Amino acid sequence: MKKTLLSLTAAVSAVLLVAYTNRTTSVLSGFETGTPEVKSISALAFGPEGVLFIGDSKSASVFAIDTKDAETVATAKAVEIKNIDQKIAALLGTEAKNITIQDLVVNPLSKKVYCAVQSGSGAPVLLKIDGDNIQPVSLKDIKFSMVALNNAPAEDAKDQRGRPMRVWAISDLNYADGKVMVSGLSNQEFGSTFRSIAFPFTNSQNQSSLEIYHAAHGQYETNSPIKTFTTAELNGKKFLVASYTCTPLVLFPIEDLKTGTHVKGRTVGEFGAGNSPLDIITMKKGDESFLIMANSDRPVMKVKFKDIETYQGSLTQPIKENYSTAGVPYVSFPMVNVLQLDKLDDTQFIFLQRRANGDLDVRTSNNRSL
Amino acid sequence: MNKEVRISLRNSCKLILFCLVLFFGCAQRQETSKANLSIHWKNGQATGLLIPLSLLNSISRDEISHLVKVQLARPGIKTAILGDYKISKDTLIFEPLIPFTRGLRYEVVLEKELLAEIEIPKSTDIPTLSGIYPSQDTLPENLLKFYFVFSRPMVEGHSLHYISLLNQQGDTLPRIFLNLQPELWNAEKTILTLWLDPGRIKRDLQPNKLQGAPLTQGQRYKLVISNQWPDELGTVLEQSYTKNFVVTTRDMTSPSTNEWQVKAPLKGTLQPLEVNVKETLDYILLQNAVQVVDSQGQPIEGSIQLSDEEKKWQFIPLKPWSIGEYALQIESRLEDPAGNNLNRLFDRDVTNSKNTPSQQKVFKLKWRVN
Repeated sequence: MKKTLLSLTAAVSAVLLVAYTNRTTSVLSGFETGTPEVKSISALAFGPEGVLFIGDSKSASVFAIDTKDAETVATAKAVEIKNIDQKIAALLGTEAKNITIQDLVVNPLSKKVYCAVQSGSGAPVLLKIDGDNIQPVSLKDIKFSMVALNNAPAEDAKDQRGRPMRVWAISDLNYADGKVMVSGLSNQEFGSTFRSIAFPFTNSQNQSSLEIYHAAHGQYETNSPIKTFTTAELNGKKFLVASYTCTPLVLFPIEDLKTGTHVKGRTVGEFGAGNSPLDIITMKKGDESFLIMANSDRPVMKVKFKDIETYQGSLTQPIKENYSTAGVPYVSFPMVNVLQLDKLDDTQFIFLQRRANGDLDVRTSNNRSL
Repeated sequence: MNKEVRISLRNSCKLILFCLVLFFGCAQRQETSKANLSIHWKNGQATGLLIPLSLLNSISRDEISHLVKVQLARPGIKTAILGDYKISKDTLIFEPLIPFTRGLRYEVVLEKELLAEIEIPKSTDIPTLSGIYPSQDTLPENLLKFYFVFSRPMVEGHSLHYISLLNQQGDTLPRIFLNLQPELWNAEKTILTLWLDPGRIKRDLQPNKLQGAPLTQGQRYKLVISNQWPDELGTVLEQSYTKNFVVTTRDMTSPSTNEWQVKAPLKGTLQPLEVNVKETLDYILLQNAVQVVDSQGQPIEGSIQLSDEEKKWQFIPLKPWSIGEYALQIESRLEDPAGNNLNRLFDRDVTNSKNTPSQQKVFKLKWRVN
């Protein structure tokens, strides 16, 4: 009897311990239930356990929402949606010209596609795409957590009436290794603003605001804002791979990005003047990793991480020939006018493309192209 | 022959009678339907459609939300608009996910039967462009940005369709502005910040080397804003707007608050505090980065007015001035139109030690009311 009792106590303790451990290790444990006041959706990124981060420029905040969409699917069906803008516009009761697809991301667990849409009337909409089915993701009475980006109280003190307030427009948002990284642009002063925020969010606002620079050709320093970025491991070291509003590809060691530090990046690629990268993702094929980059005025490009690793220099000489490129080698895909990219599964990525006939389609590319 | 005519006439009469009955019947029904549907308005937006339950007599309340659809009244594939249905007393209320679009027609359908149709009237409030800043007509070659101030919230995301810069030959200049998504609007969507391509302004960056600065010294330009630019309700600007300007030398000096002249107001009055800032400074930052504080450092409440091409800064207090010490508190992020702030130049030569940026965050100018 005593033995049974002991076993029972041990079993109950084990269950409690497991429950406790699960409770404390889940990133959702600190989430509250309610309706987050999302005023705009500028960027989306998935974190662990089906958590979706919403970068809201209008309220200068990042929201983490529990999508409850955390069932793991290993391989995904290719996503092909023709005229997605027209389909979404019809569902919203308006015309395609009145909406903008702000971001398109894949839930890495369920492989479902999430899409942020901004309408002319200003209301942001979050949609979930599963095959041909497009459904709204309700933000009413959900589990969420949030962090404000305007943390300096003096910054927006309301002492003067009617003065225009500063907006911190979120240009990109990513999650890696327990950190939400946000790049932003102010609508007032010019300059690089990059924040790395520990997740789960804490009350202590554990976030670092960084000024990161890259040196253009050795002589002039540029604290231009970052437009899009991703993270990557190169030679066993973690890097931030950033594309600026005025220079394409710059590397920063993540360990150097600390509050108050002046971090200088290394320019590794110039991909042609008059072009600006729109989205960057990382894909793998076998043992090789690649950077896939969508551009405003060039086709989608593939850069081998191996080439970035071996490219130890920094671009110091201006490029002589008009529209030529320099730095790491790259391969252009026969894919133009691609506006958004995201990894669908280990072998596929989705992309949003404006076709030659004007249609806006969501398509899938498999790893044969890699 | 005659017989044939007689028969035909008789038949025609029948047909006309039938058509008249049908016409009046339909017209009556249409009118009733229109009269029965009503729109719920919120801040000028049609946020709901009120459908009397009497229109849906034949079905039970439980079935309503499954069987009733609201959709765009247009030919082609019909899609039910996403939104919430709720019943309040004798009315079915449909709230779409985003407000209905002004000027479009919508229909209410019960299964496949058309119950009613309604047009959301176009807005009669016509937007205007109330200002373009800098308001000067002589601008530096390294001008960084323009602000466009509108009377009403505008549609976001397509600004570059409506703004063009023409040289003195009347040719539209390509790639002058930085195409950013999200665009830099204030929270109210009434002020747009538009950067000239910083990659072309910053010396030695590839775009600058290859394409040159966006503006050339000594040249005349015309900024044109199209009258096709819609506000958030779809109503286009009242007229086209133009700003003519001539370009002068690069501005390579940081603004200095030491040069500012302060004209103190008289005690016990609501006279404005007048500050001559000596050069044109950033229209928005002058309203945001400059504050009046008392001897304890507490902000004084009041409003700011700018005049004389953003060279004159005035502060009108809410309460009369008292005798004592005051200070102007100026944040270092205050910029001139070329993006040079109080601490650093927009682009600086790192090999010149004189250019090392100051780290001072706030500059103070003391003054007194006697």
